[in-house]
Amino acid sequence: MKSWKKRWKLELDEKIPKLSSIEKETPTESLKPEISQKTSFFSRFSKWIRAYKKQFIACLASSMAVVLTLCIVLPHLLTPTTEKNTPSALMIEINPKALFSVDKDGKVTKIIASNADADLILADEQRANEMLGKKVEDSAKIFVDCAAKLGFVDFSKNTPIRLTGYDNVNMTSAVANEIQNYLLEKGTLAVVVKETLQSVAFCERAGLPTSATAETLTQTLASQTRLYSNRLENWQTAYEEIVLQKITRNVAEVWEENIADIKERLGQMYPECLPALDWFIASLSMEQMLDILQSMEIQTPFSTTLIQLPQTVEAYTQKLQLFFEEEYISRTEKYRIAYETKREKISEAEYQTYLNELITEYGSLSLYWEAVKNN
Amino acid sequence: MSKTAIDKLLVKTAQGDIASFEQLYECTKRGVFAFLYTYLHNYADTEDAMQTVYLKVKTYAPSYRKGTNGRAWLLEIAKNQALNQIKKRKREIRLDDLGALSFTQPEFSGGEGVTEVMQRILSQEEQQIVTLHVLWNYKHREIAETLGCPVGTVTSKYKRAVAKLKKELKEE
Repeated sequence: MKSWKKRWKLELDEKIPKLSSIEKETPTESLKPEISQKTSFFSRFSKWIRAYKKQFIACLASSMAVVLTLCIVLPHLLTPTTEKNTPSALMIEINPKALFSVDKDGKVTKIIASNADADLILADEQRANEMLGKKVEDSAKIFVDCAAKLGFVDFSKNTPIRLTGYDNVNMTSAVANEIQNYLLEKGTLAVVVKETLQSVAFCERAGLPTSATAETLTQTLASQTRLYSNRLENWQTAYEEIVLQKITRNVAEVWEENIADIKERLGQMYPECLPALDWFIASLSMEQMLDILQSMEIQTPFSTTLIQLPQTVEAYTQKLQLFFEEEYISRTEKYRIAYETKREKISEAEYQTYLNELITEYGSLSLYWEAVKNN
Repeated sequence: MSKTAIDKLLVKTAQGDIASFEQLYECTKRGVFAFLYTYLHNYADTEDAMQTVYLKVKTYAPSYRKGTNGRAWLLEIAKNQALNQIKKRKREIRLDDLGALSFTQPEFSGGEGVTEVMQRILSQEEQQIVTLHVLWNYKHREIAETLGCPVGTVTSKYKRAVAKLKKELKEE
């Protein structure tokens, strides 16, 4: 039996009339003068190319060689390099917060989530591993781009980012430049606030036990599990905060979007409740709401199994993994248009003007960061 | 048919290439017809609207800007034509008849086409979502932008519409 799509197309082919002679012979509007001029210019350019073909190709090839050489050489000349022979660490704070362990060659050996939002980026092992083994500035850019896809970096609202480097000014500057250029290319005036702290201050900010040396810090980071939610002691409470609250908010949104259809459906299922339908809706439990949505074939991004509390640590880990996978898909879809919208690149001059305004208003970029995060 | 292919055919049609116009008609007729039907609900009016739509496409093809969205341009002409046609004719809404249609319609035996089934069991928005996705190859987010609703709504309505169709047409 043919699928309904094939049947539909065949039926349409039978019903739709053929193109009549009236439609074929209807004249088009005459071409506008600008189109004729464009055609004329193009034909002149083509003739010129044919006449001076060899010279044109040679000129093009040498120009491309010069541009290619500049593209390879300039980044090495202009970008500050990280200090060699010293392991280090970097913290990125957007709203996802993560720690990068950096070896003496400036490459990332481990990434650790410092909050549940960063778990969303790092939960998928393949995605997390893509950031390992790369230079820290490249790895950090991948992380920020992922955060942007998930809607944590709002290009229309100049979301600031803070970078904190462990005792390595050059490394912090290199990463800050890379991310700032990425943001300017994306057309946002978001500022990268960079700071370099010594051991005690860095560990305090990162929420780590104090490490006296860079090597000790590297060992501490190596011993941490990748996901923040797997390090929490009270996992039952963590599950409610990380998973259940989010699912509740999402179900409420889906419910609200479809409230007219839902009320109609409830009126049919429970006619006795019609006089007090709003009160009846308010008394429904989460399971009942999900059952009703399911019976109406209205999708929610999360599996219904996630609303049951896990009873063991293993079940907690499994449910978290499922939750992060589904939340990742849901968020990338939700913020796809905002992420993919093309924006004009911000010029260096415009960016410097904006920076100066912020420093004038707040005193420093660090104080600007504190003010934004406290609001 | 892809956006790029429609774009090329429109440009050639604008230059007076009848063969390209015929090809454009063959490739887009299903989508235009089904889209018009979601507004007009009967074959006679839809056929009339089809003729007017393609007359306008042929006449105004030079005003189409190359590289912009040919599919959307075509659909805009179709939608405007459908709305004009609706305004012109009187619509008699007989609720009793519609109610009888819903509850006494016999089981699908092959006599009622997919188009009629869609009109009977799906809302106008659901019909448009299915038409844009199946016949125009629109992605859900493109449909969301076209209809001005969230992507999640488009996805859930499409799935619901397909499930209803499969159930009514007795498909697994």
